[in-house]
Amino acid sequence: MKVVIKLLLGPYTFEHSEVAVKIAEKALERGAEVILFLYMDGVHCVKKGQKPREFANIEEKIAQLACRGVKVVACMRCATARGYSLEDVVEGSSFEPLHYFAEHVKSADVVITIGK
Amino acid sequence: MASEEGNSKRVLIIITKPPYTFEHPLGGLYTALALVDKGVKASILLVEDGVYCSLRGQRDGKVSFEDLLYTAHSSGVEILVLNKSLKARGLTREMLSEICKVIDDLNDVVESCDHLLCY
Repeated sequence: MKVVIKLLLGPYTFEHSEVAVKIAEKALERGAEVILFLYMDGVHCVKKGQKPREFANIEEKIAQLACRGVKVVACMRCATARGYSLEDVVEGSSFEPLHYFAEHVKSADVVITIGK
Repeated sequence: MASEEGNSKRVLIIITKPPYTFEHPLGGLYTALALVDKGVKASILLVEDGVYCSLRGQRDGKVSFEDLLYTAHSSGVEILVLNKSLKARGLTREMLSEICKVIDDLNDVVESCDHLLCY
């Protein structure tokens, strides 16, 4: 099974990023191929050096997902618009154009958008 | 599910937010363009405040969401608008871009799609 998760919002202001991480973890546990595509403000989730005091660190959680085999991909247009380059983001994540997402939708069993 | 083959997949993109205030309509529209470019059938459904995206003659400085909708439509993206949301906001069919198709019933549209993306 292939699961594509598209996250539209950044961490901490809302709970959406934590929900996306939990869904990715559960899908992974069930043996699914998981792609976490960070879109719009979702790209903030892979910013290096996050130090939240009251919340679970999304950067660390996403880095763990990447280590466990989740493809963590940030939209290139959205990342560029927000001033990010590859040196700024979590190891194991990458930038891809929106066509990457479209290509994976073609073969996905489940596509989830989080952060409307 | 409407299809199993990637090339004939149908994706419905629901936009619920107005243009210019939020990035969501733009995000949905770019996604639709990327999908049709990859051979996926994509439809945009404007509901709730998303129906403001369909108004004719709108423009914010150099940016016109109406022009972007025309670009998407000419690329093969179907533009649907929910009548219930229009009526609730005092809007009529005559106020919309001619490329928009007003629908009364969501069932057929939702049932015919393989994936549903919300913006």
